[in-house]
Amino acid sequence: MVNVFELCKRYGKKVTAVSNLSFQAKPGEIFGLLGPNGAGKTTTLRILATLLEATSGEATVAGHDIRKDPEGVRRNLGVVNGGMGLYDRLTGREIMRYFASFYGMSTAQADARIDELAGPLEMGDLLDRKAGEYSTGMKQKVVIGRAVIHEPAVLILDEATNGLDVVARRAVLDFARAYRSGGRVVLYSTHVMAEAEELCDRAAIIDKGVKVAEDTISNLKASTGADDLEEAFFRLTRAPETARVLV
Amino acid sequence: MRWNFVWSVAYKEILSTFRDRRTLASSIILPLVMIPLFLIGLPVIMAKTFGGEQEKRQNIGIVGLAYAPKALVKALETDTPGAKGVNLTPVTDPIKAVQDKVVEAVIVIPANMPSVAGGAPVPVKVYTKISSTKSSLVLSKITQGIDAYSRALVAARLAQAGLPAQTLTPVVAEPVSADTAAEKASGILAFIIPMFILQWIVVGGQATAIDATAGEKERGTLEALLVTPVSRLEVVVGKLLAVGGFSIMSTVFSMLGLALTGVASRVVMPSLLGTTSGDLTSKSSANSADFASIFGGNLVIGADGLLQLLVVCLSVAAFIAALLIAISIFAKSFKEAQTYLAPVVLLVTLPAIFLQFADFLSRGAALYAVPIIGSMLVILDVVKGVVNWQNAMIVVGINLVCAAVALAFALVSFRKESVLFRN
Repeated sequence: MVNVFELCKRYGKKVTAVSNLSFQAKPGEIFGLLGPNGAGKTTTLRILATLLEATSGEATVAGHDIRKDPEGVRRNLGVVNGGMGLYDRLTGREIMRYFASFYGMSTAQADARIDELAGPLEMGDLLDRKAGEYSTGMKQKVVIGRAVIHEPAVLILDEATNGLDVVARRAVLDFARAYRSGGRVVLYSTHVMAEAEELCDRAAIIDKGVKVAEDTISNLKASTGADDLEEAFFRLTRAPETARVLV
Repeated sequence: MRWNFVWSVAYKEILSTFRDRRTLASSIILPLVMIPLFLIGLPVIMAKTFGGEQEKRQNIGIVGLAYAPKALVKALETDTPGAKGVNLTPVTDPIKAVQDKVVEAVIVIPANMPSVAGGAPVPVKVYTKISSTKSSLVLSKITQGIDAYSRALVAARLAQAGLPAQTLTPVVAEPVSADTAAEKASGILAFIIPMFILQWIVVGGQATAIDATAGEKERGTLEALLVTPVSRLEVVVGKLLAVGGFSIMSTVFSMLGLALTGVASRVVMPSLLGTTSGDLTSKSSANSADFASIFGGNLVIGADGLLQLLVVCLSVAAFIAALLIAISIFAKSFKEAQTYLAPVVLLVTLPAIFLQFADFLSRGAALYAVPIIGSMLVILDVVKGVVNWQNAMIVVGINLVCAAVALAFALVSFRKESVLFRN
């Protein structure tokens, strides 16, 4: 569903944000991209979303090549990241209708889909209030609703729970878990290992733009002999001598 | 280009701007109120202050009062039609008296003050602050008084020789206005009008331009928009339509403000200015018409002129809207965008200042081809009733070329990673 092959992104000669990254996310799975801030997760996802151009390498999203058919990619993709906001002077419903229009949906089709999403995302009556009045949690729900208004085959959640309280965070995690059914893919990028451990079927661990490991969560733990994913992450990303110094 | 996508983008910007009360107020109410206020209020205030000074008896210092002929003192102290006389107070140090603001001016009467005409001219020094407009009014009162005395001496000498006073002025020049009706109505301050119109094209579009570009970046909505199938071209064109639309809306309201000024000045000016000077009512109502004219309060623009104005404004709005978008997309935030756009307002106001000297310029096609300045010249032509379609078309062509360049520039920026994801 999402195939990434030897993807590179360089800025000038010195900065390499992503280096020869390859991974595969299969239908029906939540695939984690795990790493600290600045590891290259967001850059990778922006390349997949056709917002940034890869320096080299290839990738397809839902069968569409990111270079040859960027619009095909965008038609089958929804993106949520932690920094996304809403138009303060528009209502949640107007915002979702606006985005639906770019997928060729009529107002009636958009409204039907909004009704469908209002339940699982617990958006309810607030939809007809201006977005400027929303709480952080409600904002993020509308951001997610907007991203999946066209039922994309691939959903990217990039640090999507940043700044959310425990209730809103739970709603986002539940939504992600439900979304993979029906053969859809969720790419879940985070630096919070507990979330990844709970949610992801498989994950790639990225550090300084380089993939360190890619496996199921249980295999990642087993191969490092760690009790939880966070420990596994540190064992994979820290050179042994550094780890010893820290201990 | 898919026009339904373009319209979607434009509609969202329009809806969003219409819900922003403060922005709406600045692009609708401000031009409606400020233009009449400026064009009527300023002349009224000026007329009142000028008239007020004329109506007042200023204190004038005098050195050598003993040498002052009675006729001269009388000429200075007596009221003339349209202006009151002055009060004379003896002083000793003329410069100090003026600088200490004891008196407005000081006259120094020399000992050899003549009482008959015929000798060498005797200078009478008048000390006053030449740089001050208020003092120049007092100076003219004094000059008139001294002239009157001087003329009286000449007349007496002529009478002695059995000649009438007209002997000295056998021929006089008489200026006759050859202005067109529109030129007469537009007045000498018509050069302000192009600035008003262009300024509101900028102000009207500014808020939407910032909101649609830097605003989208700051709120984190631009990335969400760009991952939909809409193309960057469709996004830029849609935003351009919205920004240009608000520019035009502001312009229409500023023109309404101008029209309102014309009507209001005819109603309000005579009553406002007529009451200032009791016995001189007839004269000051003539003054009010003059003042209205000076500030373009009596503007009459024909159908041809209005059409020309509209075409030029549409094209200049397209250019300015594209420019506003091209510049503000570079900014990361509302605040930064406002800083970047400040010079654009200067860009349209500075040339306007030089427009008052437009009469001295030889206005060839080349001058009309200068962006912004050409547009201002055509607007000025329309206001003055000198409609010339050929020049208007040059300006429209130039504006459209500039708009296309700015649009291309904006599009390049919208495609640049470094511009969109500047952190």
